[in-house]
Amino acid sequence: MTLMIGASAVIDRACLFLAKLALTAMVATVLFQIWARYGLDFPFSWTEELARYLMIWAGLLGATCAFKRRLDPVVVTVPDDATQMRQLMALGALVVTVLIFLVPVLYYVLFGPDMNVQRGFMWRSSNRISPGLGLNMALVGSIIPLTCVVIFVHLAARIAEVGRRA
Amino acid sequence: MVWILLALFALAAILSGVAISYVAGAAAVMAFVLTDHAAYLGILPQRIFSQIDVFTFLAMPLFILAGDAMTRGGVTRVLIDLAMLIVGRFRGGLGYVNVASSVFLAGISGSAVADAAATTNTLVPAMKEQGYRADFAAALTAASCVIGPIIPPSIVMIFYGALMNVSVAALFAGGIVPGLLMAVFLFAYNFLVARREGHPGGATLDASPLSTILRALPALAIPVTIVAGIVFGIVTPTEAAGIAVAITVVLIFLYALIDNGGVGAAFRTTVALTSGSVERTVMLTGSIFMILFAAAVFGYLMGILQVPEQIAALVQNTGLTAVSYLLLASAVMFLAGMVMDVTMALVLLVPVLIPAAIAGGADPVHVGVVSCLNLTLGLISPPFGGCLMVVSAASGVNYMRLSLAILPFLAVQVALLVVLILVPDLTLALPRALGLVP
Amino acid sequence: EEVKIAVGCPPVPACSDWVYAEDLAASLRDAGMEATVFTGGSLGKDPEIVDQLSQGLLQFGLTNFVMINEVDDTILGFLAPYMFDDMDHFFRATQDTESDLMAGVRASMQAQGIRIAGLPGLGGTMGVFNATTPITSVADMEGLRLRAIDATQIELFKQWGVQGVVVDMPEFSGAVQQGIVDGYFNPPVVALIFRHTEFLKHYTDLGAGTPFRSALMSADWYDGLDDDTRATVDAAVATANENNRAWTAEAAAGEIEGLKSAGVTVSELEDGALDDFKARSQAAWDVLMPADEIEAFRALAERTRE
Ligand code: NA
Ligand code: NA
Repeated sequence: MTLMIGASAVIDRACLFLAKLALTAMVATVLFQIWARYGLDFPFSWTEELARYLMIWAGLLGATCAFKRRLDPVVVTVPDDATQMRQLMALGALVVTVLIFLVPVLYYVLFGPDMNVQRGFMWRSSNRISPGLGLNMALVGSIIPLTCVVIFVHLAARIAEVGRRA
Repeated sequence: MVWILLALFALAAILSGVAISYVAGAAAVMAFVLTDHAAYLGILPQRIFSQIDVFTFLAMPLFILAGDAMTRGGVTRVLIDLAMLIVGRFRGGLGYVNVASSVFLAGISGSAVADAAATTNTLVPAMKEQGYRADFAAALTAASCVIGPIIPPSIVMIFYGALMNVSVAALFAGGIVPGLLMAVFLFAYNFLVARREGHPGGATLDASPLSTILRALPALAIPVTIVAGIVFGIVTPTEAAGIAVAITVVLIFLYALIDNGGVGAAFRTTVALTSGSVERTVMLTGSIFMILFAAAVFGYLMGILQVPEQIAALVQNTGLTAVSYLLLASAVMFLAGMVMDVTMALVLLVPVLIPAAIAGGADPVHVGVVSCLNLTLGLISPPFGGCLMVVSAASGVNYMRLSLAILPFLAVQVALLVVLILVPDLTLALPRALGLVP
Repeated sequence: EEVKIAVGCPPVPACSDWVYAEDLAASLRDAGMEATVFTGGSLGKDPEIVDQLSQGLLQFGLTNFVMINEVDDTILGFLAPYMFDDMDHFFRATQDTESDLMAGVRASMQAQGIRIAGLPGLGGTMGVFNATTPITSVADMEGLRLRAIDATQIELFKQWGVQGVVVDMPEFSGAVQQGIVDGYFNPPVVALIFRHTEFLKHYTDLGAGTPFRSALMSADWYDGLDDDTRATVDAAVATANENNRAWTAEAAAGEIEGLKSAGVTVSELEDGALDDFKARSQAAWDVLMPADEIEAFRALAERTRE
């Protein structure tokens, strides 16, 4: 249990650092693009694409941090001093909801119909090259399974935390 | 039956405190299974990726970053001071100040919730101190924050432009007049209430007018740069957002330099404040992405069930005129906004409802601006209003009381919305004059 | 089983994707199959369409050639300016002729679970639209700024002595009004569909490049069909391709009239100007297509020239 909580904390710090790095790089790329367009009078074809991919990485890594910190918008907040019953129910609802949403995402990242790996998102992406940077699309797309896995780790840590309190 | 089951599941999860994005995502996945489209869940990863792999979206985190850094750097305070200087002395002065600060802030920030959080802390206590009713002060703050996403920059409009392939520059230009009209309507309402309830005027500043103006000028350079840059086509919305971030960082450094002296100290302050804003921006962007995913998954189901086509056919068969259809669609969006998150309502409803209006001859930019305004009103419409919640939490005014106090403001704003729908020229004159709309 | 066909454009007769899709659906229905056309991008953008085809969730989809380019950039040679003389030459090279080039592209896509049903035309060849001046020679283009899709197109424009500016398509109208760009390099159909004819008052057909779309089908679905059904699908695809060829020729002929009636001045290149454009464009070929395939493309073009 402690291991899970510790892992979640370490991963979160890494994700936050990378997300901030990606966003900062994105700002730099956009500013470079403006300079290239007006200063050099020569737009590069890869700046737009790089900025876009950095945004996707920054945002999805940020999404894991927001999940960890419970910053995503909610309608009802279950307070920390709620009854144990209420807290357990809240945790149960969270686990069910997150799993229903993200398990299919993770499954179809790897597999296509009939568990065919070659029709899965990752395999197909690995045969595609981005037009601007010439990046392998599997590299860019790997942020999706990464996000799912990190959120699962944070979820497990939250279960462990409630378990420890109970 | 299927949909009732889903609604019950969603309700239970929401009441258990699960974030709306995850609830909607899970509900969408279940909808696939329950409508016998489980095989189509294979689209999830690519759908999620495509949903955010959009150039236009780049402006969103950039504007969030600029707005957040501005607030941290003390610019909100400067803009409130400026508003105080201009309209503070009239009867009901702080009420005007409240609205005017929202207008100034609107030029920097693209988000209503951020504006509400930034102004509530300062203005609501000041108004209470001067004898305004707390619920009136809070309601006015909430109502005026809607101006934020109407006057450019606007995150809602960026979403709309990206989703519907409409020029963001044209939407931004189209929002200027409606945003200012909104301020005029709120000014007028404040004027009436100030008379009736005998609100005081004469709010003054400790600082000298000259220093207030001097401090505010660089902050006002941002909206001018953004609006002029985008509207006159010198830069794209994304580039303008990038420039706004750059100017913001320079400004924070300058303010820190003036207030603390020492280049080293000012540099450290700038780095600390900017780093905090970057952190907040990645998480806020992440939360928005999760909402987009969930809505995108639902959107695909609507597509495969051919719902937009059926609506368009229905409109054609019933012989509804473009205007009456637009009013009807607006009513649906308003009702949805009452219970739904703005982004989610936008991503879910706009692609379903709006094509029929465009096919009926409505102008895409006009429809875009009024839809964005309409959906933004959801932030201050009970029972679930994002801005109401923020203002209630920050001001200590009970949520129920605030929900009641907001109603007259909401009525004023809905009236403006209807006027804007019926008179497209109010929205379109400016973008047309600038050549952004044919 | 219902055959789903996805197109990105709304159901308008000027859109070749939609015409192709309806054609295909009609043939399939005539043969007793069920077919539905999903318009307006309701099943997602191009990458999502390809994704669904590859998984067999969707049977047919019409997309930009970029979807093929991401997997195999050989496809760029079929688009290169002055590689093929006109649309008919392009069709002879891609539909009537077996070539290693096309076979290679097909094989790359097959590995992704995608079968290329055809490369339909969408109208006339590429030309230059602009808001200010009639163009009859390279010299007329001096000082013009054209909207570019990417850096490679900027290279092409450089050869013509023209400055390229990358502008997002939704922002294009505003950019022309404000003088950021003066026009673009596109087939006439683009200006007609987006109604850019309201401000792009001058057009010259440079014949520079044969624009095409990609009609794609799900390879897994196709391979899983029984022989009769597959024959039906093959016949429907053949009909759709054949009709598209006629449609493309007709559209190309009608487009010029359409431009004129929309108030656009259509100019012809003066003597020698075409050769000038050809020579200059060919100097940019190594940027516009895989350099090691230029000779193979030249040979294919020569073999299929009438
Ligand atoms: Na704004
Ligand atoms: Na609401």
